[in-house]
Amino acid sequence: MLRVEDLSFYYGPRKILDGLSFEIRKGQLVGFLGPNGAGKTTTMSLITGLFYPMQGQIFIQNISMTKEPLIAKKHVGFLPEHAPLYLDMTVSDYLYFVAELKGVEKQNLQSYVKEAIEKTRLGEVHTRFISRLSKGYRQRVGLAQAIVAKPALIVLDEPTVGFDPQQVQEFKNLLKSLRGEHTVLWSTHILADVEDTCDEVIVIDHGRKVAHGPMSEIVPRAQQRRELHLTVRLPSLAFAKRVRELPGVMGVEEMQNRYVVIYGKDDIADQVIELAAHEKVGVLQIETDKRDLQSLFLQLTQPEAGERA
Amino acid sequence: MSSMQALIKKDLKSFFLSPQFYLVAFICTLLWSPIYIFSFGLFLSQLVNVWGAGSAEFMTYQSRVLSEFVSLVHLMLLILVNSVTMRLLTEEKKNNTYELLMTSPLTSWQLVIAKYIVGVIVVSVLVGIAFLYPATTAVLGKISWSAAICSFVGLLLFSAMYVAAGIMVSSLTRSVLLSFLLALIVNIGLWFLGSGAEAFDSGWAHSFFQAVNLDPVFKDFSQGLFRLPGVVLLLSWIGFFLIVTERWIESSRWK
Repeated sequence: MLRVEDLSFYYGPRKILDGLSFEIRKGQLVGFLGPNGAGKTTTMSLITGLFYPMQGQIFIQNISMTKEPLIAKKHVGFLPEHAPLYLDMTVSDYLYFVAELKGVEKQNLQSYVKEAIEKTRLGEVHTRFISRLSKGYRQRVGLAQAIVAKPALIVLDEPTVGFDPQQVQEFKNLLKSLRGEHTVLWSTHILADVEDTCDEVIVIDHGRKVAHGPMSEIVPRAQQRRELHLTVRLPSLAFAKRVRELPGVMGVEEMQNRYVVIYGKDDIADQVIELAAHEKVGVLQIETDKRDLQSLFLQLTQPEAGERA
Repeated sequence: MSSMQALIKKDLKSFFLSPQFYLVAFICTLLWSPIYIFSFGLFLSQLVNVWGAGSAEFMTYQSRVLSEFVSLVHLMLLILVNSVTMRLLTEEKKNNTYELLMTSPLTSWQLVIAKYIVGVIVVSVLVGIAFLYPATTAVLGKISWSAAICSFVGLLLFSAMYVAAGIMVSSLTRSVLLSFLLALIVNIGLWFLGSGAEAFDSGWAHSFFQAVNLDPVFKDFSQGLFRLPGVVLLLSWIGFFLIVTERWIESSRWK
């Protein structure tokens, strides 16, 4: 459905994308992850036709974005980080305008706009001026403009930035409802968002793809090296030695009264606590590494970071 | 409806539903009305005075009233056009709606032409308001319609050139104020280009600056004279500014 082939892009002398390639199947909700400066926004700008690639090809429904941009753009809806809204227009007028701009036939205008309003649950505010809407509603209007022309592909660039948890949940539910009918490429920094919403994730770093697949495959792969942080009252060399001897432990770092235990897939927290009790080191705090995006990025993009032990 | 038509319709609606446009139109009429009435009254009193001396045939409505009025309208448009053009692309960038346009099935040329058409239509309405003054006078007496229409066509062409320059500037910046000021500087600068001829006694530079001198072109139009080289010069400037705008927008896709 979306095929990105060997994409390269420079900002001046700086290489932003370096031969990026991936493919997304029809109807999937795909998370697009990467640390700041990885090239996510640039990739999305190229996919939506905002920029031209310096090398490589993008195909949407087998239509080349570089060779036939006007046709390809009809199949893409885009919601940038800051929703592109005309504040002096009402929600309905704005959606009619976007639908016309995207080339929707006159006879379909009304039904398309009505459907977008229903899907994004904007019914009660559709006659209001956009300037009078809350941030959450404005972002929904942004999503409505992205889907109003019924594009095959919807590209979302950090759409939940600045949302409270309830708004994030509502937005995720909206996206889930679009799955199947549309293919969605969703860029975000929040791993929890994509974890329970997306079918697949693509992780990029320095303009290159570092991982692509279902979350259930990528997170364990990233977590082949995990960390257990332990703070004790009475540090002991014997305790550190015995922890090192536990099966699955790759190493132990000692910093005054803190230990960082590097281990593999199998959970060792219980065994470490048992040893701590036996050695009477007095555990003050124990913490396993969280499955946050930062650690995922670190492990996927900088494998050497986990090789300290 | 094509994407271009949709954009033109939306922008025109936005202009004509905004109080800003009506404020500009109100300011125009507030200044034009007393000045027109005063200069017309002065013309009538001078006409009565010279009637007996037999030199009244040298005093025409075109030379004494309309050309002065057209010059005044032109001066105001030189400033006010920029308040129209500063919104066209700069506001799109400022409100992040530029990305919506750039990711729509719209070529850079279509975008530029759509914005230009909107600018010209809005400015034409102001020129149309100014045209009401000689049209009202024609109800009271006889005027030379051909000369009057020629003056206003010239006014429209000059305004269209300012719109093109304004759009070019509007495509360069995200600041509305900067867009207004830069467009004003460019438009005033166009008038000073002709004075470059004085720096060269002869040669191609002298000929060039003479050829781009807007002063005689405007004088011809205000006197009701239609000369092709003047029209070609104004159309060339319009083409130049629009091409630069399109190239700038297109090049931004590579940056």
